[in-house]
Amino acid sequence: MSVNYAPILWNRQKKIYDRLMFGFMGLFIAVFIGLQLIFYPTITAETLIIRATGTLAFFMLHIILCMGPLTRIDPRFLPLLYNRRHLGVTMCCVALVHGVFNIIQFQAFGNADPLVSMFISNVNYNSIGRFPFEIFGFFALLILLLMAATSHDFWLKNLSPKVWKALHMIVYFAYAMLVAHVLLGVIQLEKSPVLIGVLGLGILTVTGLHVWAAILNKKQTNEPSERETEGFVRVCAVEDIAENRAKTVLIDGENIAIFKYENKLSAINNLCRHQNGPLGEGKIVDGCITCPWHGYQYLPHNGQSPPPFTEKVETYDVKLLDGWVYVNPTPYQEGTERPPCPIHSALKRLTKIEKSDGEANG
Amino acid sequence: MTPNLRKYHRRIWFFLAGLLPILLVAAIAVIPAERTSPSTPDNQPEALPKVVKTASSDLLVATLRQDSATGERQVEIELKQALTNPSTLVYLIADENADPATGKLLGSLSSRKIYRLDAGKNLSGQEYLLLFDPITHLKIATLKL
Repeated sequence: MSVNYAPILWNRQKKIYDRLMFGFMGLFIAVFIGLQLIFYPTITAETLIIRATGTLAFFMLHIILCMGPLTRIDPRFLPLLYNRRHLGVTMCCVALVHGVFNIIQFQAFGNADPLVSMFISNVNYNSIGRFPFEIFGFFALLILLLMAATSHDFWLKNLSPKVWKALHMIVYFAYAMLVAHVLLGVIQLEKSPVLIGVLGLGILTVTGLHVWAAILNKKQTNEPSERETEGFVRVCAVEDIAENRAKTVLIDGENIAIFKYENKLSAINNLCRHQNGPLGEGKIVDGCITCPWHGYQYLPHNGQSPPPFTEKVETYDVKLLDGWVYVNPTPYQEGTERPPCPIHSALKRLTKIEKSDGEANG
Repeated sequence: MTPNLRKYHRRIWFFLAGLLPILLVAAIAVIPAERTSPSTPDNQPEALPKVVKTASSDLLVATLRQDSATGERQVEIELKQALTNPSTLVYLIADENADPATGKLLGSLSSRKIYRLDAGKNLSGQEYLLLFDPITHLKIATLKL
């Protein structure tokens, strides 16, 4: 979050994140090279670089792809998301080293252009086992390069968060192509049951987490249909919202987060203007709704970022009736001030009594 | 993430959760039982004394040589131009369309030089020379001796 342009907005958390990342990468490469030298004592430096960078990049991609669903399954993983873009760009650089070394080693010493050679040196396009697997890696690398090139907030702002997010979802196809690249490449050549097992485990982890998170997310999506007077829709009991937290609801396509704070309720659009992060999964810090992804902040009563920042989201009317929270899904223009709905202490007492009566009767 | 993107996201992963395990099983099923490239005999250091016959093409000159005393035969190949295939094996086969698996492996070729390959005592009617790329499974050239 910044009002002035800076290529990278460094802060302490980002530095710690990057140090951990580079530390892990160094450790991975050292262990990998050590194991390779033990099992393949005659291995050349070029082959070692190709294997180490390819394995590291593929492993990093698995970690990156697991972060999203992990945070949706358990919010304690949210700090992993904070600097995921640095991780992604670094992974792309490692993959690029792998790709360039491969092209030099296997395609650059013939009489054809190295890139052309990759497509014509093996023409078994009608075979699964002998398919030119390098092509999958090549196209996956192009996708990763496109994503790395557009990862900066400059592109996010100019393409809009919706387009940018949709563009970056093609990483899933890059992942599928890389799985094919490994399956038809190293698995066919090495035939190692250990490699097959590790790859299978990787596929199972990534797809399993995504499917689990998707099912969980669908279950958690609150889509009330009961419409009350004046366009208000009943959402939940006021006690269902934790202090400084929100309840999110999807009504007529409007993604709304209703926050409870300081004995008040306010509703704003659930999508952060930065990367469409889920504001309703964040909390109120220093009086501001704080996006769980990258810390963008908004004031609950008007949906505006505190000065000097300029981001704004839509606001909604909220009301409280007999202990139930109602929201009107018709949005006000971004940044429009709406008076918070007070939670009266008498009302809170009333709902407690009603609840205990209900429990006694039930 | 907007509800629409979330929906597409969910569909993509349900699709991949079906596709990737199928790919894994298919790839395991087609793993070759043997190595692609068989071990190849070494070149012979000296040419056998008697020339039996010679044939040539744009790519190479092939000479069938023999040692009259022992009956041993040798195929001498001189490449006229560098081969562009990363790996080339030389087989003796019975006819122009025969599969390399039915032929006799003589050795491998790489850079431009003269190769002298052991052909044994009996050609068994295999009088065609086949240059074959085992990686791409391409027949590079055939030549009748």
